Amino acid sequence: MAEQWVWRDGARLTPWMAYQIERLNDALFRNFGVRVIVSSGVRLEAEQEAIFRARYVTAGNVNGRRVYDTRWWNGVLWYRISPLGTVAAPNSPQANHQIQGSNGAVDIRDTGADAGVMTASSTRGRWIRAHAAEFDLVAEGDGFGEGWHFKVKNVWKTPPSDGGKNKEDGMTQSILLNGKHFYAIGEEFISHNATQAQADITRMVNSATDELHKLNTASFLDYLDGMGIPRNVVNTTTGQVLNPETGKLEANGVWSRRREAVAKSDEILAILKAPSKTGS
Amino acid sequence: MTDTERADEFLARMSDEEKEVTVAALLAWRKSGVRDPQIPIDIGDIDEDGLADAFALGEDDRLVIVTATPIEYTVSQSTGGGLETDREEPSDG
Repeated sequence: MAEQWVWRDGARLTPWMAYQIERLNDALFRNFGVRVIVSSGVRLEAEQEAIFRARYVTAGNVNGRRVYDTRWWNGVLWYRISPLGTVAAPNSPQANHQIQGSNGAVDIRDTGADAGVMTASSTRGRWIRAHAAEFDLVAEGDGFGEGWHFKVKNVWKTPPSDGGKNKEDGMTQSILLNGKHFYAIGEEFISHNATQAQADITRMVNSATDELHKLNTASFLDYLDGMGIPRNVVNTTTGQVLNPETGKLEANGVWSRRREAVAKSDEILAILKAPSKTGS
Repeated sequence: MTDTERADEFLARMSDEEKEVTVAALLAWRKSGVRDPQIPIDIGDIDEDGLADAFALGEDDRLVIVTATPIEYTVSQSTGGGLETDREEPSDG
């Protein structure tokens, strides 16, 4: 099969890998309100070599530095002098960021505030490990202390015709917090819907699937972090949202980074326009 | 191939300089407080068992190979989260 690449978060993936990551992304969002970020995907040989050479040196170049692991490459032993992580030698059997047969690898994280999917000891980490097979993933990195590293199986399979793309991407999402408070949320944007009727019409117009995501407080706050929304612009008890223009939390309040910037610039303009008190 | 044969093969492949540098690296780990340091060889959990071969210090600080050791027992660290933006490390040119 001819190589065909899809780019996500700056990482190179096969269409099947991208499809499975998108499915995982949707599932994580539904369950925890977080999104998947791909830190590293498929590497071409030159890329694998560049990363390898950035972390490993030969014996004559160790110069007393700490050595974290070793690898055989081109008939000599290479020493890892970077603590950041192990890297397989180019074209070696361990180099599954270079595709090996039908297997590839991704390094992933999520938009939550903690280590999340990257560690087996977190709620999201346990969830992804329990469901990995549903996404053609294997938590292979747990075997060598890199919980972010997952093997991806069947990488050359053809995804469904819609490519697994989430039609809601780029739109606002409808959120129900603790069964009480409705919000429309986008990147650096949050709007409180004071009534269910308002929430329903917003969802019908803005969301391709009309889906209402039900979150508890912890997941909601994680989601705010992931969307670049400061936690202090929402009162999760009353449901109110900060209006940057009044500086108050309000029912039907709308906060966005843009509105905040406009409000601040208005303040600055007011200061600049005020008469000088120096009398000079 | 037995574990002993595999260990002997590793050592036979190494140059004198590689042996010397490897022993020095192990001694440095011990000096920093790791009592029985192990430096893994060719990490990559192909068989998903979490084990790797590793260099260690034997009697009289001779270089030995420990086969199939759990990677968490070794000095391997991974702090980068899978990001590739660590190009500040010097390359081997």
